[in-house]
Amino acid sequence: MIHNLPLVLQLCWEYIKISLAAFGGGYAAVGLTQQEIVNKLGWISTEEFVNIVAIAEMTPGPIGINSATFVGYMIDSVLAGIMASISFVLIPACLVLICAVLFEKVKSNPYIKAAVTGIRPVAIAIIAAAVLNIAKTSFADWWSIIPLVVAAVLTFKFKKGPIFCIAVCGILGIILYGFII
Amino acid sequence: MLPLIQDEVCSKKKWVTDDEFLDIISIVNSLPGMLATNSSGFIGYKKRGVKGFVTAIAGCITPSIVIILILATIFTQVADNQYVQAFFLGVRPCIVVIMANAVYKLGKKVDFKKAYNIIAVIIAFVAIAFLKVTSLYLVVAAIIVSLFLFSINTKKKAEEVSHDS
Repeated sequence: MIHNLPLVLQLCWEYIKISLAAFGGGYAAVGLTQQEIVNKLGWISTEEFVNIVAIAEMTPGPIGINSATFVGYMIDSVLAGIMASISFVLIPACLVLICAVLFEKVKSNPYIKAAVTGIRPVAIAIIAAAVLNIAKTSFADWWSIIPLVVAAVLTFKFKKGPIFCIAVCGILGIILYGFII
Repeated sequence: MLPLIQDEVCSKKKWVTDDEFLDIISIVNSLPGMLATNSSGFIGYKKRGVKGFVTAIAGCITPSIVIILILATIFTQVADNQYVQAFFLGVRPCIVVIMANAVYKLGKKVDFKKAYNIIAVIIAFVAIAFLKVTSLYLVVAAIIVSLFLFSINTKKKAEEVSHDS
């Protein structure tokens, strides 16, 4: 079942902290996971983590849950994956319950609006910092420029979704690294 | 994901009206965590109280957990295959682009003419990327600073109004 209980409990605690700071949606959670679990704690390598993010993108469901489950599984076990995901939704769920009960009072509170608007630049910085860290190890060699350019064109010019881009780049990867090199 | 949820919840199952849905989304956007699970929990509570809340959230996360665990088990078996590795070598730059796009989309929502936004983004980025500051502290700092600025602004406006009258 669980291989290293103290580690898994610490992982759950990390995910609780991540869930509290994840104000920019799933990508903020991914960015936070990269900073805390990959960078600071070193429980997963950046390369492994990028693979996890890729698979989490390609599967249905929120990327936050997908990556939490995967990270838990990779670090320890199936049960750790489940526990990591539950830790990730626990506090936000409680906050949702509180807000649902206090619905009317929360609805147009200007203080809440001010706080949320104020958090946005930080959320941007969180994801941007993660991009920087991931970029450091995501380019194996000069050939990587090809999938980079293809992905950029597909995403920014043609507005294609992540699943399509990943599929195309993956196939490019197989052609480039499987056959040419 | 949002249009999918809206379609299912408002048009097909008619659990909430479009207006109620907008209210819920605006509250849920103010909360940390994921939009999908948070909004599901909210609607679950509205329809069936605490039981609905728990069921909705469980329903939201269970398929993801199951699918990912299956894929992860498969992945660890095939991870050594050279073509699988080649696939992911190609995918890695793509992930950088996808996350850069997330930054771009969030950036569009922010008015960077406001001093607070530019200053906050720069300080936060330097702190997180280079000084290894824990992001949670920066989020808390942002909440405190923006609430402080907001209350100063509100006082200023109140004074202006009373000066005019």
